[in-house]
Amino acid sequence: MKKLTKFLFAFLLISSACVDPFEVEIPGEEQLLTVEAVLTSEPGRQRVRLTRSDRYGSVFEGLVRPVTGATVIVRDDLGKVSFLEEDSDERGSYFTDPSFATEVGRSYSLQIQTSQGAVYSSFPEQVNAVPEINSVELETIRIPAEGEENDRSGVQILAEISDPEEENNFYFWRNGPSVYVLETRPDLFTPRPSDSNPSRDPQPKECCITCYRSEMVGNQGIFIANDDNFNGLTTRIPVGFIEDDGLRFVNTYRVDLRQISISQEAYRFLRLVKQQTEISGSVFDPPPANIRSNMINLEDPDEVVLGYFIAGAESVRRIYIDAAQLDFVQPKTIIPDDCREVEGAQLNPPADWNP
Amino acid sequence: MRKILSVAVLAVFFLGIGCDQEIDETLVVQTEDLLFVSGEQVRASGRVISGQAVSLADHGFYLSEDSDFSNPTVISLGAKDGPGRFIGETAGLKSGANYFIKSFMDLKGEVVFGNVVEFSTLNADLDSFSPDFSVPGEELVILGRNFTSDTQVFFGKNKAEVLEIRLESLIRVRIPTSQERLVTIRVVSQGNDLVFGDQFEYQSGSFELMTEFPEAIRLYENVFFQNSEGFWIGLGLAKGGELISYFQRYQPTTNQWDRINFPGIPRSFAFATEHYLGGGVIEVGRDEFDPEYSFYEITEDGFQRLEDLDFMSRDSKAFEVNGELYLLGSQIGGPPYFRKYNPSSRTWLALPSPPELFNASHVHFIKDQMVYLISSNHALWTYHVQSQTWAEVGQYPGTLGLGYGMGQVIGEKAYVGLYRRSGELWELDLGTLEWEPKNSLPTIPQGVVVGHFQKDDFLYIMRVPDINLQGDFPMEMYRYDPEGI
Repeated sequence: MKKLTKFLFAFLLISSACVDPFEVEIPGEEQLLTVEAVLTSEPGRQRVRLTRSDRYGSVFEGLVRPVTGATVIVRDDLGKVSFLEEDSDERGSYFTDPSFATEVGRSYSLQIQTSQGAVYSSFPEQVNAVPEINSVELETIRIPAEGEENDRSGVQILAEISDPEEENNFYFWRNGPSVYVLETRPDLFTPRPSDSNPSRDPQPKECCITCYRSEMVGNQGIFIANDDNFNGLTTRIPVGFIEDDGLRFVNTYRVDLRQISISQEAYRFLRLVKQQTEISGSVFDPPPANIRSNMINLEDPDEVVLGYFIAGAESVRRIYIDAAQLDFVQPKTIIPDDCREVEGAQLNPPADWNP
Repeated sequence: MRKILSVAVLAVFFLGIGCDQEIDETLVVQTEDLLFVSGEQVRASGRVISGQAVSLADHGFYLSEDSDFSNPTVISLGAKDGPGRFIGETAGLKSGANYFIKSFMDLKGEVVFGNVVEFSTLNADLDSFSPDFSVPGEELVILGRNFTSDTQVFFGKNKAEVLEIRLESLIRVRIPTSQERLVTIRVVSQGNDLVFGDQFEYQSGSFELMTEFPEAIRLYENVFFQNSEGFWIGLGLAKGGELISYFQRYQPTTNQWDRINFPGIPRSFAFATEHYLGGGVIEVGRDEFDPEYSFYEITEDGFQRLEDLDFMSRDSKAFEVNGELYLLGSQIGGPPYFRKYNPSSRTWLALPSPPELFNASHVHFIKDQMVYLISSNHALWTYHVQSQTWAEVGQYPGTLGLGYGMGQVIGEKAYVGLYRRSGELWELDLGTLEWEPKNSLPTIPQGVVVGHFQKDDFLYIMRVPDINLQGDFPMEMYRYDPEGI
């Protein structure tokens, strides 16, 4: 019996010595180069934004960091090179010369050399002609908001375009800068109590009720189309949505609608991004996928680069939206202060304000 | 039993079929879009597409000037394991030529090619160059496109050193010396000549040493003027503190100096123009001065004494317009004055005060009826003698040194600079009021101009080293050619 006990004890020791801890090896995630660039035929300081992506996980894992100190050029198929300069206030954003504009018929490629010496190049992007926007219609959209008393709402912009028949066209719409009449209530101004002014009583201001506020609001969603279903025809397409925040559509709102012709490859990229961003969690959603960029590392073509370099032609249509045109507007947001205190607001209308 | 055996055999057979895995045997190489084509370089992308593991002995591209690839250049990227994209590039191509390229992979003996892509290399072209005005030795940047590595740059007939060809679109060169002021920039790329329409301008201005002061002295706080008899330099103080009582007159046509005695009292800080001389002080002790009021008209017969000044003039700015003498200055510690001498009535008229204090340390020059003055804060002022109006019309871009610079006019251009302890010289276009730098005086910068004159299209400048500079330095007279290189 004693022998059996010793044997069992020895077996137990041997067994415990044989336990190997299992370590899961997870491949380290890199902070990937991300390229955001849409260069068009509208002359101006056009931006190429370079960042390094965040790592998945804890907020302390990493941050989206600008890629600074890079040499960035845009080159056309004739060999003309445009050097981009990094903005000192907006690190990681590289701007073209103010006279830069793409030309229809030319193709462009983006080349980046990082401060570490890595060289990235895009595949050439062909610039195709873009038709004008014939007309614009507006539709008020109400979006039920769960748990909220009021629906969310906004203005959907529908553009009528005449698609050229002789070529396959791909469209991308973006909102340009917008300006709207901002109305506030300086008569309701109540300052925050402070040592110098401890009063909690309203202290109405004499000025100012009406200002003009500029803002840059991106489209809520990705608006793209190809002409498979309307090649050579005139059609009406949703091209933008501007949410009503209770301020924008009180009086008059102005926005520049940018219609950009893009390449088939750029369209495919944006379509995939749109699909991925519109995943709702249902069984019918497309599976998450790695969307290929048109940027490649020349030394390591297998390196994953995010984003896309788009070059296209652009037509712009400026539209003024009057509150009276809308079927539904949000309750007016009250700002109890001088309208000039609101960021981006000024007393005088822009020189080209012509509703 | 037989039945059972048959069923078992059939089941095994079906199971065997069910376990077969279909192997994707696709293995192709594809030539993708060209990433980059320039005058002499091409960068291509290819891709090995395979559904299975693949091991290649070599892969890359074939490049040829003919579609049959009869004499190809092979861009070999070596062995490769697994499918994927690859990039190949080569240089040394002929610009403006037609080429064909195709990808390949070597499957350990069997070479498989991708599709053929045809392309043309690009021709070099010019956009701009900057700066369009500079001096030899400085850098100049040429912007253009498709510059090949053998690109040469010429300024007129002179070849420039190419410092860098960046991204085939930017050339940095060192500006060569030149014998001409305006030259054409020519860029030669693979034998093709490209010429800019606009010319490059060399910063000009040459100094030729003409003569030295005929005496071994260094003169300061003197006066100078010119008339038909030559350039006059005299009075003032010698370096040892001795007052000089004469003039040396230089005749540029004969390169001769003549000593002319001054009949009056020697003095320093006097004023002199073509026709008048006067004022000044005599130092009687350390920083103690006796003012000198005597006033002379300079005629062909010599110095004719006029009625004494009824005011003290020390270091006044003097100029003549239409035969009338103007004096600008200030009493020591007093307000500025501005007086005009009427030779007919032999009286002095007080004019409205100038907008700034001006005296002999400030540069002036005259064009037609307009007097130009440069103030102590670089402002360029004009004074119109007819309307008696002042106007600030610009800014002098150069250094003011320690004052007492030179101002002269030749044609439609004024030349300003050579202030004390500065060798800078600038040209002012009197039509556009734009400034342009000129070549500096090629001597020690710690100099003082003791006389400057204008004859024909040249300036004559006598400069002496600063009084604090020790050593045996002569007073040198330079002839300055604004257009010289």
